[in-house]
Amino acid sequence: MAILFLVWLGAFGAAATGRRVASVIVGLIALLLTLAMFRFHLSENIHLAL
Amino acid sequence: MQGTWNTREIVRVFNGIGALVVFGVIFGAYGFQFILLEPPCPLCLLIRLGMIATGFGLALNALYGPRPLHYGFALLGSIFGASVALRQVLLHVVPGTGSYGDPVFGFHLYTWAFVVFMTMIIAIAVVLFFPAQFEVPNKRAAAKIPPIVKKFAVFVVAVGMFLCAANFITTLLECGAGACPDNPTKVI
Repeated sequence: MAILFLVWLGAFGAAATGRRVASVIVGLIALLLTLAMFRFHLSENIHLAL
Repeated sequence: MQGTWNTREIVRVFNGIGALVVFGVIFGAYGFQFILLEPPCPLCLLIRLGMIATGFGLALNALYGPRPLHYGFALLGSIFGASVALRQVLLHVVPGTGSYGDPVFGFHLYTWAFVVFMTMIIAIAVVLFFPAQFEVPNKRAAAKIPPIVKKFAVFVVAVGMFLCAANFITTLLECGAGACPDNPTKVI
């Protein structure tokens, strides 16, 4: 989990140093990793009644 | 006041304020963590990441000027954060299933987080009503941008960087490099 904040720090760092496109790419990677972590923390025992 | 204010510059400042609002929520969460000694759960940390993602998109708008890509990023962050917050609300929505942490003004932090994310989504939708913000100025007009706009944007990004670094250290101390336990017992 802590590593995710580090990746986001990289995205902000790229933005702060004028690398807009790089910051967006790093940010997208960070967002995907964050999404994966959310999926990891979802219970396996999910039953939906739609 | 130096420089010329137009729709683009005003929207940049509003984006910076919006980023500071979501960053302020994380500072509030830190208050709960270190003043009330409530350890953040994994979903709470994911909500913080959603706030950071939302703030990142808004900070890009403040720093580089409004672009649809930046708004899209902020929207994705808000939708992600709202999903996590709603997931945590649903975990405790049935009476008798308990809750996590102390309520603030009657709502728990994850409920407030859901309200904040939905408000951000609505606010971004409203800001998109103004297409003049996407008109890129020529060099002469760009030179007239008030310096305070750029300084404010740099400040917003610096706050975002500080929060990322602080959360990295505190989460590392709480959970180590891996995933956090479902029921954390220590603050750091």
